Amino acid sequence: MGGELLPGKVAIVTGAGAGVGEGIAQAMARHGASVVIAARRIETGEPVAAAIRAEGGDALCLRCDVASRADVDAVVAATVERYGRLDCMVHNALSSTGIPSELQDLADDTIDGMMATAVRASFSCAQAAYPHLLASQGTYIIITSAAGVEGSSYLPVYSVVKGAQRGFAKSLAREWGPLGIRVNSIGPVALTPSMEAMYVKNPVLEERLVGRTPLGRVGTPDTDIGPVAVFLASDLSRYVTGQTIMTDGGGFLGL
Amino acid sequence: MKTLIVGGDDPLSSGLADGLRARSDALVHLRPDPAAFATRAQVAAAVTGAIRGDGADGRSGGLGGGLGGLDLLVHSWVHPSAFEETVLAAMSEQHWASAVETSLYAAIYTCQAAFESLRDSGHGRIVLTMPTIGSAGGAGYAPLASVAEGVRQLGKAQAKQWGKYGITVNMIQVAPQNVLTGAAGERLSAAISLAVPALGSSGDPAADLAPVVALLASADAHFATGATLTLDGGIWMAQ
Repeated sequence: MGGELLPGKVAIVTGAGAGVGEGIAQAMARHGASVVIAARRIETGEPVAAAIRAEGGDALCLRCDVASRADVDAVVAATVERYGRLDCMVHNALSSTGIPSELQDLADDTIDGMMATAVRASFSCAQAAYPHLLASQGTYIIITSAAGVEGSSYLPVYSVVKGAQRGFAKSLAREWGPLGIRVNSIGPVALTPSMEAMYVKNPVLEERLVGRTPLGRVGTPDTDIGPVAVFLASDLSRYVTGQTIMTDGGGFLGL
Repeated sequence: MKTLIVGGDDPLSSGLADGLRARSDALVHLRPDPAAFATRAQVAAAVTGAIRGDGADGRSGGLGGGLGGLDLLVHSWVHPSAFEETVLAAMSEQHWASAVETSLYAAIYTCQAAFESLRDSGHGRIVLTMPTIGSAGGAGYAPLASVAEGVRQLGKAQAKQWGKYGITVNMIQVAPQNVLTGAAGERLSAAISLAVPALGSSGDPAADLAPVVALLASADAHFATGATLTLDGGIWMAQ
C-alpha cells in the first residue's frame, strides 16, 4: 500500500458491497485510508472488506441500509468509535432503478426506493457526518450520474434523484465551504453488476455506450472511478468544491 | 389554449398566472393545499379535477367546471417549507421530507396526472419552472436547490419520453428573487455571480417571463423540447 494520498484518513463508503462503491473503497484503501464498507447486506460487504485487508489495507464492514436514518447514524458512530475520526463520507448507495419505464407508467415502489436511498440518504449521510467532517476539515462526495445532467430516456425518476443530488451538493458546497468542508460529486460510467444487468435487458446498450465514449471503453470501478474519489478526498483537491466530475471516458461533455 | 398553472402564492406562480391569463382561452391557477398535495391520489384528484372539472379543488379558482382539456401545464409548485432558510445541521428530517420529497413527488405526480390530457391535446406543452440555485447552488437553501435541479432533470427525461406523443417539455430558470422575496433572494443572486443583471433587473414574472412561457406553448416553438431557458435578466450564464 505505497504512494499514498490518504494516509491516516478514515472514509465511509455507502453501497460499497459491489460496483462503484466497492471500487472507490478499494482505491481509497490502496491510498492508505481506513475504509468502512457500509453495505445493506453483510454477505456482500464483508468479502470486500476482507479483500482489502488481504491486500494489506484496513477495512471494516458495517451493515447499513441508507434508507434508515438509524442505520446511517449507527455507522457513523461506530466508525468514529473505532477510528476516532471521519475524513470522508462517500454516498454511493442506490436502490434498484427498476425496469426502464415511461414516466406515466411508473409505480410508487420504484419511485419510493430511489427517493429514499438517493435523496433522503444524501441528507442523512451529510447530517450524520457533519460534526466529524467539521472536526477533520473533511470532504463529502456524492455519486451522481450523467442522467442527472442530461435526463434519461429510460429511467425518468433516476434522472430526478440524480439531479436533486447535484443541486444538493452544490448548495452544501456553498454552505460548508466557509466551514472548511468540501462537497463534490462524481458522475461515473463503469462496468458494475447493475450495468451488466442493464446489458442483459438492453443488448445494444454496451455497443451504444462504448460508441459514444471517446476513450472507447466502459470504466472499471477501482482503477477508473476510484482514483477520482481518492483525488477528491485528498488534499490535492483542496481548492475544488461544488463540482461534478464526469468520470465516463468523455461520454458526456456538456459541463 | 387551455392552461393549468400548478403553483403557490409565490411571486413567480402568481405572476405567470397574471401574465398568461390574457393569452389563454381558459386558465386555472391550481393552488395546492400543502397538507393535501402529497400522495398520488391527492395530486391526481386536484390536477384532473382542475382539467376535467370533476371534483376540482375548491381553491382552484378560475373555471368552476374545469378546463375541459389541457394544452399547457405550467408547474411551479414547491412545498412552502422549501422557501425557508435552514442550514443543514439544524434541519429536521421532517423539514427535509416536506421541502424536498413532497415537492419532487408533487412534480412527478402532477405530470403523470396531466399526461393523458396533454397527449390528447395533440400539441401538449409542459413548462417547468425553477430558480437558478438548482444549477448554481444556494447556501441555506439546499432543499430548494435539490428540488429545482431534480425537477429540471425530470423535464429532460420527460422531453425524451413524451416527444413521440406530441408533448414538448421545457424549463425556465428564474432569478432567486422571483421565488424568494426580501433579502434572501438578493443574497442568493449575489452569490451566484458578481455580475449585475445585464438587462438591469431580475425580471417581472407577468411582464417578462410569462411571454416566454407563451412562446414555448405556441406552435412556433414546436421544435423546442428539453431546453432550459435562463430568464434572469442575464445573471447566470453557465448553462
